[in-house]
Amino acid sequence: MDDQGETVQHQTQPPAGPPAPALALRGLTKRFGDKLAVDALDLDVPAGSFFGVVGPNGAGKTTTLSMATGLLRPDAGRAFVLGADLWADPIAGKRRLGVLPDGVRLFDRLTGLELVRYSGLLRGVPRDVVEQRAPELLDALGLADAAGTLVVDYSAGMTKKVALACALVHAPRLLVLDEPFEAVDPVSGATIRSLLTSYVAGGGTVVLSSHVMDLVERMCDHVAVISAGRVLATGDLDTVRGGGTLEERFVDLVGGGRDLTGSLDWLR
Amino acid sequence: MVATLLRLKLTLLRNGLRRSPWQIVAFVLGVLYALFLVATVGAGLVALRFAALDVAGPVVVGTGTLAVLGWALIPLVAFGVDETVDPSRFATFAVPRTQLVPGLLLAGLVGLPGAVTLLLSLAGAAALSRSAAATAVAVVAAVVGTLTAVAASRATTTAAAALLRARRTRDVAVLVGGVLIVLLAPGVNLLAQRVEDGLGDLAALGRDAAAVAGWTPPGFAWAAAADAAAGRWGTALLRLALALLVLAAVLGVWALALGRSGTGPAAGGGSGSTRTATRGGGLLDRLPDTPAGAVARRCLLYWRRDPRYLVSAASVAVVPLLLLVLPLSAGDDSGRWFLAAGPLVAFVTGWSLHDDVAYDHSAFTLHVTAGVRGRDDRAGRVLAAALWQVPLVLVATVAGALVAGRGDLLPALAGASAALLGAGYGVSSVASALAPYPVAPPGGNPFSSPRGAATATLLAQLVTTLAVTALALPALAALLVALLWAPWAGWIGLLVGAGLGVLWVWLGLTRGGALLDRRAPEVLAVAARS
Repeated sequence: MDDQGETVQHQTQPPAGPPAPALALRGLTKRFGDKLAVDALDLDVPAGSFFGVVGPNGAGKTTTLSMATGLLRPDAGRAFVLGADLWADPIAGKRRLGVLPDGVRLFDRLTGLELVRYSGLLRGVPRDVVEQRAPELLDALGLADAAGTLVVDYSAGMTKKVALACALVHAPRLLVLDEPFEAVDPVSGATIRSLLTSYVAGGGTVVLSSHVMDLVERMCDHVAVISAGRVLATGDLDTVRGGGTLEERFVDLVGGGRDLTGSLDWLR
Repeated sequence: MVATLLRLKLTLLRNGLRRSPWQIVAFVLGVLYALFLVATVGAGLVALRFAALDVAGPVVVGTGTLAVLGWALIPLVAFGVDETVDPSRFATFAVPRTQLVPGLLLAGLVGLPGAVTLLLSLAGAAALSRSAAATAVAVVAAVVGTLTAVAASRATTTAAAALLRARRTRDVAVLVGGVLIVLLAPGVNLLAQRVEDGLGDLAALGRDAAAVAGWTPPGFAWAAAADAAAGRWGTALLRLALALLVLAAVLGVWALALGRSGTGPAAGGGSGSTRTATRGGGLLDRLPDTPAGAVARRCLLYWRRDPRYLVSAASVAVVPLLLLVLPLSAGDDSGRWFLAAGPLVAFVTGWSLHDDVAYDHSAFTLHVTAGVRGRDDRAGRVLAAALWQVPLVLVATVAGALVAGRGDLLPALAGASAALLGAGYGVSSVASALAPYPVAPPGGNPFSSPRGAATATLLAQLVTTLAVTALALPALAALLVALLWAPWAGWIGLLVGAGLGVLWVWLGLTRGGALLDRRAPEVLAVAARS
């Protein structure tokens, strides 16, 4: 398809463009039975930002990101990916979007190289381009030696990295990563981090969810705090944390930080 | 531990019913059917209490042996085993296997099939309750027999899955399984043939068969009860001891198999040489570099590398074998049965794609995030299957007609095969987007079905089967006319069949593709469940 055209267009784009959001969510709502998982959620992710979504377990992070990437149909609301209404025209919206979902299987009876190649061809990237990019990506992620091994025999960290390669092979302009550092060792984590940092430096936009505050604070320039399906605070990092650390601000916003003095004596 | 596992099973059953009203409907239907079975068969068995012992004994031994064999073998071919309490979930809890196995055994007994088997076994014990001591032995034997049956179903499926998971032995295991299934058929046929020879013979034959069965592992327990009723106490106690040994051995095999496969994390594949040539050979490289071509290439690799696809492909190979063995064992001239080879293979292969998306499990996410168009997804899957299935159907059709000595029927047969294969692909392309149902995940036991999926599975399989047959009806009618009256009608059948085949495939790709475009997130939600 027109993957090549977009790459060129991206390189000529000014680094600090007008703040048209790369991802805009409007009134996203999802209900599972009696539980309102995401409650009319609005969110703007500025283009070119490194955006962290933090929230406690069960806050609706994964549900929100699934609805923002076309994996889960929202009950109400809209998601705009680089200006395209994702649910009105899924194919156009998804073409410039790279997704790393959390906790889903890969086609693990393929080798690492076959899987990345498959991911590229599925998106209509020409064969010769895929043949050039796939080994390069695997090499950058330290998977060159495992390129010919079936993904089913990969470790958790290797699986995460090959899934990231799949999300990058078509050179997306927006990357949505759900818990990209879960089950990843520090060395692989550093590899992924530097790859993402250079991606953002090149004008790409990254949205990632995590509950490791420290990591989000170090990598991201924008954050959103989500709890109970709503955005509690969003903006650039310094505005949100307002003087303290992100963790203090987070516990402050979400609540539930409990003083344990005096209880659980039997554990000591 | 045992109590905990039993409580877990009951809780899971109750929560399963809470999930949707349809689960309750399915459960109520199941209960009614079970009650019907217990009422009719159970009443028959209890009535045997008043029959001569040389009638009651063989009947109880025979049905009991068959029941144990059924538990052990049927899950390998159909339905799968109910994995409500999945052993692999206990991998992290450090439960010793000596405690896990009895718990899982009793948990397996809880549920309709277990309850029905236990009740019928006790009815059989009632038939043999000729004295107080004999009744005691019969009740013990009934319990041992039932436990052996339940344990055997777990042992065979777990062992088969363990074998399949080790990649090296997998192909051999599938082949052996296929051959065993084929060999079962002539046995049944031989029996059926004897039935025709007369009822007097049948009684004698039944008595002989029961006598033999009583000395086989699945029959010891039931024969012990019959011995006790007849007052042969020595044999009774010997066989009861043997029955207990069998139960212990089956449990041992199960525990061993669990150690090899079940208690490991489900996703882990077998070790061994996994480095694979990254290029799959000439055929794979000649596929177009479009999204549809990529899907086809991936599916072809899966037909070779995923045990679930291998089991599915092996079941196709069984069709011609069945056609060869079944009539031969019936003492029939097998020739004319071969006419059915082509159409049957066409039906089985085309239809086998009807739940293909669910086989991807949550890996289908990649197709959704990549924005693959439904049409490309459908076309790739059909193309991959057609690349090996069309030649197979062709060979089966031609060979079938020639072996049967009816070359004149070749056009009619080819027409029917084309219509059935095309209708199969068409219906599959629509069905896997419209009504997918959850299947065993990749790397999971290919002989198990996810819980709560039984009704959806049955319904989808029934409707797709009917739809394929209905869509191929004109070509089948032409085949019938050619077979019975006018062979020249076969040429019309060939034209109609080929035309219909192409039409159904095209409609399937476009309609199914449009459906998938609209419903991709919903299809993903079902496929990811297991």
